[in-house]
Amino acid sequence: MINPVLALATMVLYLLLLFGVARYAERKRDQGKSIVSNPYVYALSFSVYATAWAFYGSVGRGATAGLSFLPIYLGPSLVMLLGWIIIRKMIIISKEHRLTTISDFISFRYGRSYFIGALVTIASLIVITPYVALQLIAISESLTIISGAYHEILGVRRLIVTVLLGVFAIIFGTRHLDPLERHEGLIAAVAFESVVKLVAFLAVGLYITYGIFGGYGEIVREIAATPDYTHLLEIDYVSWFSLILMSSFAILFLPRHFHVMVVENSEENHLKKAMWLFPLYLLLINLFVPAVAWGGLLLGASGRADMFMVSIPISQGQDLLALLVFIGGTSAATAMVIVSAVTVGTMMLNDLEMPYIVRKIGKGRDLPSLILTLKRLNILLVLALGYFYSLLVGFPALVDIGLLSFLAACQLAPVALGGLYWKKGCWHGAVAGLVAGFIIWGYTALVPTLVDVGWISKGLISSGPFGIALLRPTALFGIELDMWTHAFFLSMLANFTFYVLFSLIHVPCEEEKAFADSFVDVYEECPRIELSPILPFGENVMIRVGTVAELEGTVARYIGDERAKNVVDMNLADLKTTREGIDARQLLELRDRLEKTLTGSIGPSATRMIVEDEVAVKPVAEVIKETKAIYTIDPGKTYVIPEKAYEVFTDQITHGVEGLCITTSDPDEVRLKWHFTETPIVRLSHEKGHSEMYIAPSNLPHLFITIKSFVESSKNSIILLDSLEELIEENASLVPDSEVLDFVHALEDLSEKGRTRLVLRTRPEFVNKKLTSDINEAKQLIFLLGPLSAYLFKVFADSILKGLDETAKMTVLRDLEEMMGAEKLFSGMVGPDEDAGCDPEMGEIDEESRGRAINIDSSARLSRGEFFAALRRLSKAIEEVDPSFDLLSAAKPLMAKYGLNPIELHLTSGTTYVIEEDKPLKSLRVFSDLVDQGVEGLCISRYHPEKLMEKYGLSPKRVIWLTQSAGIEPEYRHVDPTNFPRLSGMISAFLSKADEPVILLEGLGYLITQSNYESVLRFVQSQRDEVARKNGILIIHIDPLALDTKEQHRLESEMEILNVEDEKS
Amino acid sequence: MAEKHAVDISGKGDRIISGHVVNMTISLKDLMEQDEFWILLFILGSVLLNWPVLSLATGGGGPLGHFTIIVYLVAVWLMIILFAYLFDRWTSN
Repeated sequence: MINPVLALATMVLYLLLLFGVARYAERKRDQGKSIVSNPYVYALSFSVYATAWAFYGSVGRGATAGLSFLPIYLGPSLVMLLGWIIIRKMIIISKEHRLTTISDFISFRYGRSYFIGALVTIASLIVITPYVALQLIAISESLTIISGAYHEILGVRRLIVTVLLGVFAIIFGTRHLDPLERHEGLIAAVAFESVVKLVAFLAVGLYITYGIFGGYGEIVREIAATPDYTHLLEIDYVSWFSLILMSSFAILFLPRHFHVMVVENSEENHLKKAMWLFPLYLLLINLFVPAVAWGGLLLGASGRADMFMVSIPISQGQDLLALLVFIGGTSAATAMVIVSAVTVGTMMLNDLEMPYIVRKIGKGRDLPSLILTLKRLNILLVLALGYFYSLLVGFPALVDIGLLSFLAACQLAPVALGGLYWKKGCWHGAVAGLVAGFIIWGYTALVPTLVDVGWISKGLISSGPFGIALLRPTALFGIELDMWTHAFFLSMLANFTFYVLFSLIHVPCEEEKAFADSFVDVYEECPRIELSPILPFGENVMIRVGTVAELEGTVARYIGDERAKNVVDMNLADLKTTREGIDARQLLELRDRLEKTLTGSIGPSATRMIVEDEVAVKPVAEVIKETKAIYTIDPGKTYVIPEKAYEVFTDQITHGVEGLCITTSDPDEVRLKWHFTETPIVRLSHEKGHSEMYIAPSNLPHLFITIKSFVESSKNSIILLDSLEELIEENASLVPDSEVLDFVHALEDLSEKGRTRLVLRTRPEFVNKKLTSDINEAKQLIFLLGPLSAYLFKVFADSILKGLDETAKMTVLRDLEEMMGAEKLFSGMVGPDEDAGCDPEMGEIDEESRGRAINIDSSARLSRGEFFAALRRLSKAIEEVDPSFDLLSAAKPLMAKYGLNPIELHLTSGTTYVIEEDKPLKSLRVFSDLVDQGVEGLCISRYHPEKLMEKYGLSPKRVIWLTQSAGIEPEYRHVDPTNFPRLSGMISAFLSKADEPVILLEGLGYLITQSNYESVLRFVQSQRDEVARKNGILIIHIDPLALDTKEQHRLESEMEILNVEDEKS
Repeated sequence: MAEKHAVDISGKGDRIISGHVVNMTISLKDLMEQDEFWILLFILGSVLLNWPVLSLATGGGGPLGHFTIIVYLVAVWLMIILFAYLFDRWTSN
């Protein structure tokens, strides 16, 4: 017997020694001389598998059931043969995605599922509690044996051990929030303990085998010769097989083992060492188990067989050996407790607490501290639960706890292995399999162990629930097997069946497919992805992009400012860029790396919520389809698409274009209907929403900034605005006209300069021109959409009238209203006494403003020609009171602001103009400006269409080339200069289709030389009449030096002279 | 010229067998670099460690009597360790 105080002191000293070992390892790591990053330490850390249950329980099992303890160690040894296939894959995947626990690993694979992560975590916590209790009881029991029974209150020795282990786990297991910063101190301690327990076991094994008996052969012979013990040499093959399978799965998926094997791995090649060292370790630590167990039986050792390891040396007077064994047992127990507490604590943080924190805890809290504190509390909770459980139940009840824990770990096998090798495995299958497996496990394994404890009635086992024998927990459906084989078989059958069946029934979503590919195809090399305007990010890639500061800020919220900055700086250096110089592709890469950092710190479920909720609207590309886009729409243009806007938008975003959708509809309905999952949706609403961006329709500046930041952070984007009509109409009485105009004009400008595609979905009735049901390219939205042209006129008029005194203004307004009333100048324009069609609020506004401003109904529509005609009328009215008034000077600032050409002030629909210059430079410039601004134009020219395209950007479709050349490419429209009938026909066809078009005729001199002056004059006169009838504008270029005075005069009499300013002015 | 396939158990590469030109040799090292080989070993190990093969070593009828089963299990165990050791040694340069 050893003095109890001495024994306790030895144990405490040993635990302090572990502190020293861990501290030494950490210090060496800080000096850059890690003692842990080597394959031998890595392989030794695997021995955390051999706990006090292995140290004592194997002997107990050997003494009662013979060799049946061996499958628990044969299974892991066999699995090590597949280590390079399976474990290596798990390591690579976990490192790639920063997965730090088995629950993260599985939940990540199935779409970063909160539910799956939580389920696995809760099951782990339920199972680990009695297992930790078992370790504490084993230490306590062995201490009792070596030092005698000792009355203690509330298991104070166990409490001391629990506290010390808790402190150790907190110090060496929770230094930082990124668990992938490996815990070198923790692993060093585990490796040290594995040596201690092996030495202890071998020492006592050698002593008993060769010190007490004459060798192994003698023990086996005596056992074989003793009738009571011959059964120990027999094997129950069914149970043997199921235990091998169970332990094979357990070694891969027990949380503590996943941690040491996968998370703490520093280099893949270390695994090769572990593949043989770990089975060798298991062989050595089990080599003398039969000898100790059977030797104890033969010696008639007193007490429980589990404690033969200490009771035999004590009974033989070998106190020191007994003390060594006790320390060995303590080693076995403490390694398991520490690693399990850290692992399960992390799982609880990542999969139970963090998702809640992300949703509920507001900004402003010191989250990194809170998260670290929670992790430490979790560790203490795991240990506390184990401690209290150990007070409630006795040692005998805990012998089966090891197998219960193994069987629980087995439930993760189908979903984990399916996740690694089967792409069709999906969330539904995983949930169905896990739930079915755990339910059967609970009923067939957990319930019987609780019966043994006395917490559940024995009648349930013997007769089944409500007396239904077929539902007996240990013989479900009449299957009679040993309890563990029975539970294993049924739970795995249910688990596997439901997993496969539900996975086959359901189709994984796109995100799951991407994760499945990243898991299953992890060994396949990804092709280098090059940025290109059409498919910037390669196939099947989903992207979110933010600014560096925003990304850093998001990460800093959870891991602290300093660490976030260090991580960002390190990644920027790795990407060979800077915060200012980073491009979109590097930003994408940085974003992915920071998301992985977050995953490593707080788990994938919480990271997913953060990325969805906290990253503001950013360009996103949907998963790219392997087909061609159906619709071709060009960047830098605006399109009005009345019916197929969403189809076009969806088509583009699934072919590599980053999209932003702005709508008044419910975002969930939009997503559901159009099946895009990642594209951000801005809802125009006064409500506040959850996880979607809501902007009030009247908040045009905010809406514009949102759109602008989206366009600027993308190289290939499309914006769908399906509520511009509603936006304009809703703001009609709320927001000044100029603000609405500015918004629309700026939006169009942004689209052109930002090279994005702007798609507007609106009713054809709201558009002031004829539309096709398909895609319509649009220019100058202020003349195209609803009352915007009327707003524009009001803005111009108010600006011009501002310069007049009150009396002059009143006179002008009165004259103008009389003119408008008399001439019905504008379609839809209402005179001063008509309220019909007026919104009552609008009527009030008009009432107020009457006498101070132009009275225009909000339903008024002004065509382009009508707008300028109205301005000219206004100018005329002003000139009567102020002869010095110059319309051009007064209107010029606004003309420039809204991108209007001042020449239009002088162009009246139905008029023919002449521009006199030697070369048609101004003529072509004016024409191309008008076409750029959305005027429908036709250019009849002597110049080759390609030249006009190159110099003036004129599409060949808008050009008729005057030439007698043959063999011209079919894409160029051309006509013989002598063929006036044909030319007339082409002009006539154009005029009949276009609204208020402009025609430029340049090359008059060429026409004259190819025919004669009279024919050309007749032609010009006929076109002049045609243009007048069709409300077009005809501009003719004349080189005055090419005609004599009479000819020039005759031509000019048919037209008005148009003076065009030089470009500089 | 006859062709002969030879499996080189030394792991040193091709060997020339007298009188024949060896066109293809697959060393054990090459085998070990294939996933299928380890799956095969796993299956073989499972077969050796389970019924019915395991029953050949139980019952006390072996050359070592009742000790046969223990020797048998340790031997299979050591073979597993040996293959893994060779894999580590040959591929970890």
